[in-house]
Amino acid sequence: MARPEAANPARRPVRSVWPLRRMVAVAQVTFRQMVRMRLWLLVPLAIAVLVVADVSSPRFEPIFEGIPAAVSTSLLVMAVLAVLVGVFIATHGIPSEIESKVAYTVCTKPLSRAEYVAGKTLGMSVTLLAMLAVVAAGAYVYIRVRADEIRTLAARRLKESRTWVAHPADLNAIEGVARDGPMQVYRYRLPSAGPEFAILRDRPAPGDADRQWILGNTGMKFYWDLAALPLADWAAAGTVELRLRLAGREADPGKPGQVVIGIIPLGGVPADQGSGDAGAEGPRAVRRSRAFNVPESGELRIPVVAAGADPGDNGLQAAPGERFTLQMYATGDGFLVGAGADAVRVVRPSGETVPVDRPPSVRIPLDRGRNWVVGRSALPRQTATFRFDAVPPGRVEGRSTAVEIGFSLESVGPATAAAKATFLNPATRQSLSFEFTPEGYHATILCLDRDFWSGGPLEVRLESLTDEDFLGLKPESVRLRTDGGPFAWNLAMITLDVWLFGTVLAAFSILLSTVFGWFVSALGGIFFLLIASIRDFIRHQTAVAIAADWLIHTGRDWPAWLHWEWLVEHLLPPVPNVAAMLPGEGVRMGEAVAMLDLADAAAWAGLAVIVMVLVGARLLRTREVGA
Amino acid sequence: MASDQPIVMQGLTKTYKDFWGRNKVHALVGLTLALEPGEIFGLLGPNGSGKSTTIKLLLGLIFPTAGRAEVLGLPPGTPAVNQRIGYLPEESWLHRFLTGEETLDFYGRLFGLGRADRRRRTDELLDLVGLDRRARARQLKEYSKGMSRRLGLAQALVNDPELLLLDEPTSGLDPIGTREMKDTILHLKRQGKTVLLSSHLLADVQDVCDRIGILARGELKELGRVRDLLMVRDVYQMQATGVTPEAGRRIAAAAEAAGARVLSTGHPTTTLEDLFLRVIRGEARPAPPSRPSRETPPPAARTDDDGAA
Repeated sequence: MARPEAANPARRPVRSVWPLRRMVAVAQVTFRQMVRMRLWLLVPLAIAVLVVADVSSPRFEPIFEGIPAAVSTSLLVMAVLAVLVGVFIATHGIPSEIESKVAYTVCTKPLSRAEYVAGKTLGMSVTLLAMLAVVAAGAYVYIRVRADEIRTLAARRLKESRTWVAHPADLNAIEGVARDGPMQVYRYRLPSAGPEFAILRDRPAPGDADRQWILGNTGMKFYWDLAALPLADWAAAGTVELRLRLAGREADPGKPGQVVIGIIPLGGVPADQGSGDAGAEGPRAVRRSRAFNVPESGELRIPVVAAGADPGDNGLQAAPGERFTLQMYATGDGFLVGAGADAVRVVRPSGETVPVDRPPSVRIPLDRGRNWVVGRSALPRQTATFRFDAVPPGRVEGRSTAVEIGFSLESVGPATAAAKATFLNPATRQSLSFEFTPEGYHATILCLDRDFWSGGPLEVRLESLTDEDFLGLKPESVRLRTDGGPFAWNLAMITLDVWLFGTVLAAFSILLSTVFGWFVSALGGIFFLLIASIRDFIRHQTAVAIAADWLIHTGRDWPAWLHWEWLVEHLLPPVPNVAAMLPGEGVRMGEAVAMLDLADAAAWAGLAVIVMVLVGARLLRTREVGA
Repeated sequence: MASDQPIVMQGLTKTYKDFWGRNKVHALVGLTLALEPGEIFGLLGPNGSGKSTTIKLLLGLIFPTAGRAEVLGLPPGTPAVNQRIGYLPEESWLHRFLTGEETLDFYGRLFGLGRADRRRRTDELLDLVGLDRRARARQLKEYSKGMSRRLGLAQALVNDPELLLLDEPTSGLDPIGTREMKDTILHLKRQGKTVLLSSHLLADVQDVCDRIGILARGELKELGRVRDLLMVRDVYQMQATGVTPEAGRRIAAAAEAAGARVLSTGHPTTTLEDLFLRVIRGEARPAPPSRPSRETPPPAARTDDDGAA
């Protein structure tokens, strides 16, 4: 060692620094460590996995969500990389420095614990971003090189499959890839109206269009609110008559359909009075409903008497003080019952006629935030129509435009459900139909030929083709895929999205590692990942279901001012939507990431990371690093 | 506490607990001690005596079970304190994947040095600790233990600290490195820095320290100036050159005539360290002995004037 005086000049005052500089110094060392630990070997490995998975895929998958295997696998590879780096490597940083006692040296420098933890997190995040960027670039090059080949392959598969594929929809998706190639990017456009429910019939009659319809044996019901009428008070004075004018159609002549009509007290039926359903007799029962045949004229006259009086063969009883809802459902397969705005009149004992002057509301008992298309294979059947107004032609004529419509359907029946989608171009009056097998968890992609439709308005009509399955629909269940911009830009957006997730995961793992060793921290990271993965399950299957069941069973309405969908959406705000980042669920490689969504994700991720860094710093400050 | 004392410890106690929170080891028991500005203080003790625990407490890496400590007038472990101290760990606990230059650059950045300052300081310190150009560009995982110690010292000096805490500074160094380390420590003292070092290598401590404290099982057993503690007050030694055997006999006779009892006479020996350094450096002329002859018997007992504070 040389003499210090030659090398060590007069002491200079040490500059006070902006904390970020120290944080960046730690981050840089962390990044350098990751590089020198040869973590980057994961990158070529990831690209190799992508290539091998694509080339050796036993089935060609353009049909799956309309996304070729190479494209969807690259997203999977990136997500796995984010998980690997985020959990396993991030947990290594601080514990290994404490274990190797490097932290003894670092922590004796003028560095706050917050700067140390933040630096570690930043370094890990930058490492992840660099790796994801390289993997994304590799995936882009690979998909670009393979694009023509994939298109050719799709065309060949399309030709081979025509002879044996049962549903036209299955070929339809391959057609899309064969036409547009794999590098198509789309964004969703929601319908401007719908779902509008109607009954589809093969023999419409004059006046039918003004009526509401219910189908026999489907659970569909008519409701009229009679709360404004003091029916029980009138019945106490004498016989009240309910006059109904119905339209009964399509019933099998050999098995005439019936309607069951009841007057249901508001607030439920008192327990000691019984339900008084059709056929129920008893000394104390109040007869509230009966089955009726619908005569050819469609006219039904139902006497309503006081609870103690004799209702006769076709009468109903009303207890004093009660207010009612008039309810009706039909029995008999295919039996169709219609009712218009003038369907119900009430004749008081004095002979005065009081018209209800209101069309019935139609409800399906299943009602978890969705409307339902009831299953029925033969006409008449229920249909739901969605309308798209004036889609600009520019949105469907771009190079990578995929004119596809995604169905997000739910079926309560077995997986053998069948459905039918009919597209109508109002401009040309042309229509196009596809039959398909809806799945509960995947959208069905149907491509529209540009000769059929290339912008402007569009109607989509859905029907269930099985007798037992109901298709649950929301307004957003049918979405139109339109041009989403350049593939490379979209890939960059998705990479940033995955990176944000990986950063949150890394920050969480680092937070744990300020207290625990790497093994416990890694386990904690995996647990966090699990929670994040089932976020939607927790929200929708638990929160929504419980809330909806409660509403249904208590017969209450959710307060209009309280947007419970919003509440449910924000139940777990800091937990990123992992499922949305994995192929096959939610956001997919081909779907354009909206800048607003990305900004939202970045804001949440940033907030979550800052909180976790501060908590981690606090925990590390109270931890004995040198113990 | 006096504010000009760089380190003050009062009743400092550390008890390590096990997983269940039960007391496991009493590493330090009621240590009360203060360092004077500009002195080199040596903490001596066998393994497990509490030396490293004391230093970790002073660095804020662990927290005392009882008692309190102040470093440069502030609680230990705060960035304001760390800005003004240098710490050489027991072993060179540095990032193994960084090169020597990158290591010093990193620590320079933590102290807020600008790029140009960092570059100059890195060069100065690497020269100071004797790491050559090739070694600077190698990752620390390829360093020998001695090279790591040298770099460890360099990082401790990167901020030109007022106070240095050196944990076993000569551990792992060869005799040349040991001597250079000791020379460097003495030079730092001349620069006005205060040094607290811990060691169980007694000769090293004896050579450089102004004061020492001896720890055993966590308790301070001895404290004082080295010279006072080691002085054998009832033995007198004279060293001279040009003494023939005859002259030696006459001096001994004169001493006995004066009432003294001569315990031994003869030529003093130098230390093995001095011999080794002369051989390695190719020096012909023997250096003057740096310490009394080995023939001098050890003191039988410490005197009562031990300078204990």
